[in-house]
Amino acid sequence: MKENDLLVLKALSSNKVLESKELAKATGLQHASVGSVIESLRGEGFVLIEKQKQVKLILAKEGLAYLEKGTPEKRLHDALQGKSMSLQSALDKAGLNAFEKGIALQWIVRSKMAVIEKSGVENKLVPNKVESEYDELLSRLKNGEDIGSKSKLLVSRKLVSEQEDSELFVSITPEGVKASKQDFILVSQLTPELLRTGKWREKEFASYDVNTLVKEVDFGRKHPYKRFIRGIKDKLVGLGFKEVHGHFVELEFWNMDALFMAQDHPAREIHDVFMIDDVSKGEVLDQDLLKRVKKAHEEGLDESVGWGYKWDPEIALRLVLRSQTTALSARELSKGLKPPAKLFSIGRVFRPDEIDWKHFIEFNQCEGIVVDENVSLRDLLGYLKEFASEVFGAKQVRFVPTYFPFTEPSVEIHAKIEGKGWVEVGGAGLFRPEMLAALNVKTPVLAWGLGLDRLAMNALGITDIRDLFTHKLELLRKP
Amino acid sequence: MVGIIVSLKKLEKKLGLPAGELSDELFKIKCTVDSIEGDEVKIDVTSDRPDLLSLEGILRYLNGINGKSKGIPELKISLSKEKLIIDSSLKKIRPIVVAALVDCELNDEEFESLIQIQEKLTLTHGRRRKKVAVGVHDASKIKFPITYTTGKPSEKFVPLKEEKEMSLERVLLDTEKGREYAFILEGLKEYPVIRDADGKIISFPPILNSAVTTVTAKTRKLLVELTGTDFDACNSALAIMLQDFSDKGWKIHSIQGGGFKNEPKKMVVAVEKVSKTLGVSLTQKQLISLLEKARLGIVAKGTTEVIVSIPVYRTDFLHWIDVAEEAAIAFGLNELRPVTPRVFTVGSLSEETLLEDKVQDLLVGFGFTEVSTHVLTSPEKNALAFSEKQLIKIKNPVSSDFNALRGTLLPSLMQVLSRNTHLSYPQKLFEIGEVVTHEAKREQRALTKTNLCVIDCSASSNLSNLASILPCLFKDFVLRPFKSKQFIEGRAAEVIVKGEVVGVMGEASPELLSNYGVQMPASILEVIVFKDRK
Repeated sequence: MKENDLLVLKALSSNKVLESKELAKATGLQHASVGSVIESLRGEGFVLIEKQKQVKLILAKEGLAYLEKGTPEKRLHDALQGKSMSLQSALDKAGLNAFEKGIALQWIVRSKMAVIEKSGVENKLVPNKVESEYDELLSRLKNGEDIGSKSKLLVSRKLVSEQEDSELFVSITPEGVKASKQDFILVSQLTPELLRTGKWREKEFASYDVNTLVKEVDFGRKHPYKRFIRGIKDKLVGLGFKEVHGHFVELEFWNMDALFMAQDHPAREIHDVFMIDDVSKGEVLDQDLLKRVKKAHEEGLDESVGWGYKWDPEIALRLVLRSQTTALSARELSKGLKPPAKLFSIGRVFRPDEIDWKHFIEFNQCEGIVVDENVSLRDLLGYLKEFASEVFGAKQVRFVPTYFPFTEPSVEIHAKIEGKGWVEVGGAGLFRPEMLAALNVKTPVLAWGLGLDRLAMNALGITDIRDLFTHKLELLRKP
Repeated sequence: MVGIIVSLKKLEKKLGLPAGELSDELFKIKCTVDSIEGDEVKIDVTSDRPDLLSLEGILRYLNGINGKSKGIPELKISLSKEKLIIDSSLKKIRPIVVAALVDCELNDEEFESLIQIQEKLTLTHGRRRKKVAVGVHDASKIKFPITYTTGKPSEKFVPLKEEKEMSLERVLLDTEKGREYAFILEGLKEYPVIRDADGKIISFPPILNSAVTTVTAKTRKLLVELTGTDFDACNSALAIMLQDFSDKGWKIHSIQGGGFKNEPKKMVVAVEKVSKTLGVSLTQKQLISLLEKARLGIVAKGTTEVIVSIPVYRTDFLHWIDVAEEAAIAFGLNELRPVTPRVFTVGSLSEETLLEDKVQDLLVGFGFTEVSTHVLTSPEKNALAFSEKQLIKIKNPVSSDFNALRGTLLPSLMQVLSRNTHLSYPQKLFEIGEVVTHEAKREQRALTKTNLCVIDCSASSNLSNLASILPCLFKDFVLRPFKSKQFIEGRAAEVIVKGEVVGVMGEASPELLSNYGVQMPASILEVIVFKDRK
């Protein structure tokens, strides 16, 4: 038997009938605990419980104040001392505040304790030999008297409020008396001491109520979008790609010039790329590379005629926030990658755009290159089809010709996503010969770039792109 | 991408296709149907194809790809007696001018498309009129010969849509186009003008025309003049317009001294190189047939090469690779059979990712919930967390909430706590994410690092508990007392590994917590996880 149960039974066996609050006092337990204990004891047939509803009257703030000072009308009546006087003088003599004056007048007349007489300019207050009923009732109430139906008067004047109170009268049954004679107490927890002293042999353990056993606790977990991206990384590694990372702040040289994007190309304008607010310029470590890129733009390299304008190295040294991860591919190629080579990178890129449920200014891009002697457009389409199916589970793809400044031919990949129809998932192409010649790359290079955010939204069931980086813990705590 | 609007009715009629199939049809030629509203079809055209910025341009190319027309389109130009004289004073200001005369038949619709081609061409291809500006005039109101020369800023004329005479410099200040394009003429002492035979100004390139030569629906003869800084750009822009006019059936006349060169560029291309690029074995004959579909002129050279004639209105041929793309488009990308990937390489995750995995597993094992937040932030958000790091700022942000790069993760995590004060505690969070700091020695003057930030926000949080993560992160580390507004004094430390400070930790100060409206104590740790990104 539990300790608390035993306490209650013992208290009842000496007193026979106790109200639940008295029982709490006698046992030293919290009133709330007593409630659950007597229920459980009743269930076992050890006690009987009789519920009685009682309406208690509780003095309100005003009621308490009037009990102390007297009602305003009594005070006004007392001030008269049985004599008539001018209304004004009576009010002043009673020492009432503005608020109380109004109440006093209203009730003194209503209770017929006085009458107002018009006398010339002033009004006179004429007392009657009637005492204040309300003061009497309040005083009787305070003394614990039952004022019966008169309580309604006090309630309607808001001097008193009614409170329904249930009282539980608990009595012990013969079985309860027998059970109370136990000295046996149930242990709620096995302790190291019990084990050490061997006293556990003398004890019995309290059973758990399995219905209340499980408490909800927050547990550690990974971010859903990061998990999604991590899964894609595994798939790409499985396809033979090596992971690399780039920097967020890049030189225009690597983000655009080395990619053969002309310096007056519209994609280099202030509404297409974020520029760093800094006086310092970047540095191109390989000056030979810089010269080759300059030549590629001005006169052309390989068999190209170039863009035919004067290339400005100062523009190339400006710092920007990378708008695509292709800058990284250019860097890797410039280091002298030996074919065959397959690289990929997943990282944040930044582009000026509107901010709404479909667009944000920073997002994750997944980019990769394939460097090999024998790769062609058909090989590129093959890789793209494989990604769509393996990485995004799209069974159907279609290709649309498009334009990127640094690839030719260029391709857009559309995948058929369940429930959404054809969705553009990314762009790809063969790096332009001018770009490769400047980077001293002797083989064709396939390049592709996929936006991951929209695909992640689809996979994670998110409808607002801003929720990918949500601050809402309730979303992150979801299983 | 440039957007144009064409008539749905016209498009459907000319292509013989219903509206539902238009999108797929236009995809063939790099165009995207953006929307269809009533009779207006909004089409996005890639910026390498200014020749597709009109219904005529689209049809010309699409009919080729679909096999309805082939080879280089004809552009018949007859000679006219009219003359254009060019003054040498423009050499250093705006040297290029090309012009032609066109017999036109304008109605409201044609008028709209004339304005559209003018606008769209000068916007992107013309680089906002600096490289190429277009002026179209009612030629019947002009007394030839015309002269391209300079005028003083004080010289007056009545500009288009104005009623009074204005001086050239007034035009730059008081008219809409003047204000928009005045930057092109900045610093010049004399401005380019085109005068008629009487010396009157008929055009103020690149700003606006005179009111005298205003084109209306009644105009029957157009003078089209283009000025700019690059001959090829101006010449090809004029070619685009003239080809469109010619396709409409309008007659083109050249002007003596008009400068327009209608000679196609020639490029020698090896058949095998195109085959290798596409991954399809093409015969010389097959390649010729494909390129004719792309509306290129083509002649065999020997057995292994072809000579491609590129129409003047095509601006996107720099290298034979551009010819290969035309072949691919004519072939049809979805007709090319994708090859199953066959380049064998062994894949691997980066050192950084592997490290991040370990740290992530560790924190999850300790019962922390992972958060991922934005890299873009603002100095205000940074200051709220008493972070003293100098942030790298953006010159052209789109919002003042996102105008800098975060240097630490703490402000982001504090914001998360701030947003979730109505949820249950403990709130144990961590983020592994990139931060960017100034680094003068690096070529990008900045370093992108990966940091870990951990916050234990709960009634029982204390620094000692949080610090128990450290031995799991670092093999050898030393702690040194640290003072900062972020932490309660005497309850913070720097984490030092191999003599270098790698991070800080401490119990959040009441001021820090109150800045975010958080009424629960918190212990914080932020350390560098990876700073060796190459």
